[in-house]
Amino acid sequence: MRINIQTKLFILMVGLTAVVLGAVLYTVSEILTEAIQQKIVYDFNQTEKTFRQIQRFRYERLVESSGVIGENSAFKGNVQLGDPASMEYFVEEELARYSDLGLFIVTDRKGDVLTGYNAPRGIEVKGRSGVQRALRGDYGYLIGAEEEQWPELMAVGDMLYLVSTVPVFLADDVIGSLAQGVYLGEREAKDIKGESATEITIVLDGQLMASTVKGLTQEGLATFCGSHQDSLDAMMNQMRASQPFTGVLDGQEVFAFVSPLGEGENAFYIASVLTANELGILGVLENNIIKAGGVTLGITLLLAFFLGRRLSQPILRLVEGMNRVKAGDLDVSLRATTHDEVGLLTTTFNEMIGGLRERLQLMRYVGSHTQKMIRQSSDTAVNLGGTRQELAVMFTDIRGFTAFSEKREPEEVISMLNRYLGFQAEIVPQYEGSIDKFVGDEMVALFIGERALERAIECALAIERRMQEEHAKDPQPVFIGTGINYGSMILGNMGAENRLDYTVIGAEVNLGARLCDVAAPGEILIRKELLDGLQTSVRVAEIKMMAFKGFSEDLEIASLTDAEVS
Amino acid sequence: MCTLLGLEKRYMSLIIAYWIVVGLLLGTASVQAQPATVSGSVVLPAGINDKKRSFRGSQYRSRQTPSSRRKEPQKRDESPFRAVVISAHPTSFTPEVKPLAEPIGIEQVGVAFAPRVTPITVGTTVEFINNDAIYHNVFSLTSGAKFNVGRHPTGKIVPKQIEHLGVIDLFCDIHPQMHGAILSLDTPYYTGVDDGGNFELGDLPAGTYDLRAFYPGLDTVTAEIDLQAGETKTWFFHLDH
Repeated sequence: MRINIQTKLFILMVGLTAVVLGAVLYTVSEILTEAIQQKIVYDFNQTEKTFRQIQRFRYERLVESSGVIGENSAFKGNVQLGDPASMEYFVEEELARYSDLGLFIVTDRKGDVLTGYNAPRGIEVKGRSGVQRALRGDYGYLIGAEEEQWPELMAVGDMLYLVSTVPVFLADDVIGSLAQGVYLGEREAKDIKGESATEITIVLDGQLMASTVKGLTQEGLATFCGSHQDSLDAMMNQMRASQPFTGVLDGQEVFAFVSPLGEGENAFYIASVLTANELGILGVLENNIIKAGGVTLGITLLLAFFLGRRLSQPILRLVEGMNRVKAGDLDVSLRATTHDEVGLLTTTFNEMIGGLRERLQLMRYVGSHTQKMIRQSSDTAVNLGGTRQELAVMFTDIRGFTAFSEKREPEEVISMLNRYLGFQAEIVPQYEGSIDKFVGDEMVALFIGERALERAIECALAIERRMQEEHAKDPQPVFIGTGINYGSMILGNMGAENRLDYTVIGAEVNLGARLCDVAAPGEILIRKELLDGLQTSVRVAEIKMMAFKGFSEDLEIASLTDAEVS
Repeated sequence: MCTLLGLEKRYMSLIIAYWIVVGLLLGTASVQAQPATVSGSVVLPAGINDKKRSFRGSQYRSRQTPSSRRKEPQKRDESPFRAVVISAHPTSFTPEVKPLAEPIGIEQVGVAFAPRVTPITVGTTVEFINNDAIYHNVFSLTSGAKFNVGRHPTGKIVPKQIEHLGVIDLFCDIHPQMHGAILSLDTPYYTGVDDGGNFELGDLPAGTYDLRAFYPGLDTVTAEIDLQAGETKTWFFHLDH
């Protein structure tokens, strides 16, 4: 699979962002969850303390009030008198008329009820520990007593009361007891809840007495109690508030704890907070982090896109440049837009192409045989010296050039020369020839390998044909003379160590040059005997005997025309 | 007897000897006319007077006012036996019960009724005497004997005739810790006990009696006894709640 830099960068950045965001979300969630749990425990402790305090205050107030009433002479007189009717009258007329009496039960010294205000007739309290304690002259716990003491509870009918039972003294003698109670219900639950989120539910013998949880049903409560029976049992046995736990109250998940309300009745309260409310902040946080994550991701996408482009574009430009070079265009120069590694690469590329361009330029000054030789050289050091080889050499020379050049402007001369040498240079490679050199208006071409002579002859003929085409459009035509020779020549590096020429020398080369010198305009001269060995035949215009400098005998020379071989 | 007191000492022994002889003769000759006596002792529940009352609110009081600044009359420290009354109620004959000739004083002193329990014969007049430097009040809620003498200052004597039979609890509406009782009896035969809990009830005609021991706040104990002329019986009462 091909993934470009932009995509890689994109994946990297998005991945990194996701990882960082995920880690942040996880860490923050963890920390917050712990903090929230600590807060819940703290809140619960506060609630428990508040509850205890409110209960204590109520209880203290009850004890105070009972003490005051108990020290009322008329009250005492009635207790001592032991007449229920008189006692009842007293309570109704002297107490209930002027104060909001809750539960109010008076017993005589034996614990028999003298009167029970807000209590059903025939109520028995003799067996209650509070009454027994009071009849022993004990007030119950007093201000400054230990925290762990619980106030007394009394269930009367379906009402739950917080009760204080105090002795009624006559001189130093206990003549009865007075139990006063305040109702524990809706109002108390609301008082304790206050403005907090902690809901209070008061339970007596498994029955729902009061709750600030809206719509809490007995079934909902029973389900809750049923699933936490162990906690409830432990709490009631140890008479100690439970640790916070998670539960389902009225179909909603809550953090809760349970605590006894007091002694004497199987009553307790449940303090609960909705898990969703407490952990709501986590949701908000999660949302915010996800939103922030979204935005960050968006920015990352843009960044990845632009950065990727910025990174990949110079590379793509490089690739494009390389492709152009591959296609042969060496005039490529790329602008390094960055100062980074890619910029360096671009600069290096430019330098490399510059070098290549230079070499290519140089190649044009060097014949293909030289290039081949260089390509075949195993090392950079080229040895002087050469080898004797059978090869063909072709000399062409513009006839009447000197006269031509004298009469014309140099620019015109160069233009003509370049034109005529130009197409010759085009044609020679077509016949796998190699231009050894240009010497003024003269061209030397070598043909190495199989059918070297044939290719040389064909090439010369092709040049002639081209000459004739050129003549057609040239008002002042020029002609060339051509000399071709074939034989054993020395091919090698000649010259100095630092300035070499890979060329041929030898008598056969010289003969080729002589033939060219003597060739008439448009004439191709070649030794007659060479034609005999040809595979293909050429058309010979005439054969003449000619003497050449350095050759003792006259040579039989054939003049070729471009006409088809007969 | 008064004339005898003026006689010379040397005749005294002779006179005493004479009376002893006469007494012995009389005793053997007419037993029916001899009075009987019941003596004995009373046991009260342990710690009846040891209770430390912790008044509700005493913490506040002590916090706000140093105890040295409190000027309350000193409480009298009295033996609990002083509140015990032994009474003999004849069942074999009806005694003649007359109100006591002199009014019986019930003091209010040291923020307490003194005596705490005052035995009287029904119809007797009692006098409530405030001997404290503060106001007092006396009221009773006892059915048939409801009264309230109002508040009265130091030295004031308030007489009240008691027509009700039985225990009349006395309270002071100013001082709830004060409690007293009048034991209005339908018998002239009654007595208190000494600080050791011993009693002796003499001059009882022979007959059957309900012998009762009363202590406020404890169940009254009744014993049926049969007394022969001149007989002295011993009885122990164990009072309890």
